Amino acid sequence: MRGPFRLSIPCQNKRMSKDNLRQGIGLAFRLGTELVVATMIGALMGYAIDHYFETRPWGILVGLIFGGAAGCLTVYRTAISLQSDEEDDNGDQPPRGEDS
Amino acid sequence: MNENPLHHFELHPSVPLSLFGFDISLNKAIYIMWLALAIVFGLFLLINKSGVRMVPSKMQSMAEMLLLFLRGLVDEFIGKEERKFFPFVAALFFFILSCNMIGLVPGSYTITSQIVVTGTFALIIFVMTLFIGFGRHGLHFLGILLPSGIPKVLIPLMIPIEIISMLARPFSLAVRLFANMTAGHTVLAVLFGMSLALPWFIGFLPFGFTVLINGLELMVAFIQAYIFTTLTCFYLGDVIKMH
Repeated sequence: MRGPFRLSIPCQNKRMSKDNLRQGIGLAFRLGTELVVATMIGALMGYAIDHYFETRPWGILVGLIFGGAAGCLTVYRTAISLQSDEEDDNGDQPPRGEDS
Repeated sequence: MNENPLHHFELHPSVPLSLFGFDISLNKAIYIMWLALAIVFGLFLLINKSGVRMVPSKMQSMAEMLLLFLRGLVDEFIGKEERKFFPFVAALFFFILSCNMIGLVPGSYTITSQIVVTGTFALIIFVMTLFIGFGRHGLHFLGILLPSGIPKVLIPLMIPIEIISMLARPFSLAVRLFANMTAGHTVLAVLFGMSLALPWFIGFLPFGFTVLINGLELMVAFIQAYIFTTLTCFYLGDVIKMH
């Protein structure tokens, strides 16, 4: 399945998907912080905009929403790329040339 | 006994120095960093000195395994023709791994539990990706902020989101390593504090847990070094290929 946006994570080859445990633990550690940090960055940028343009409280509100969206987008892309990897592994042909 | 569990993260200068008004005092973290460098350098020097054989010794096969694994990462995420990034990636991996591992030795210091250290790593990588991106693609590099195939209506919405997710990369790299190391060592400190504060017939329980947590920390030390390198490769590959 292809997502509506470009895949952000390049295909991971068979050797990686064989080592499922390591990859799974890696993902578990990755995605949690990804969400939190993106929200924090969004809020910080909003706060900075508020500080310089005196638009309090709108900057931080919009920033929080955008940050959360950015975090979700990253996680979503990772999930999509994982899913398409799995489908590549199930089907025998891995023709993913046009993505990478 | 009633010590603050965060106390062992504090740093105090042991040799106060200053250069042109900058504080470059030496402290425990810097000694440990030198030690980590010396260990990585020394180990590989030792392996090289003892001769690279067809039938590898224990040390050599270990090093070969790790290096092949890292080369696999580089090939996979950056591309086979970009092997020149391999030394950087390998150095990063071994340095972070040895820093994390040294931190598990009682009485030493975990330098990766300082956000300054992990932040510096992440900043270097971020600046590097920017340089490589603009160097290779010129102004086309800004196209990375605009995912292909989105409706025109969504463009003003997507650009700030893409900028945030781009900026979040170095932060999440830094925060992940720092938070995992700090959290693990804080848990260890709390458990040790409990086992010292309680009478022996209950105190052995938290003490036993420290052994388990130490094993877990060993795994976390490796996994964090692995994640850091994987993501470095992925970010470098992302700006090089640009899809």
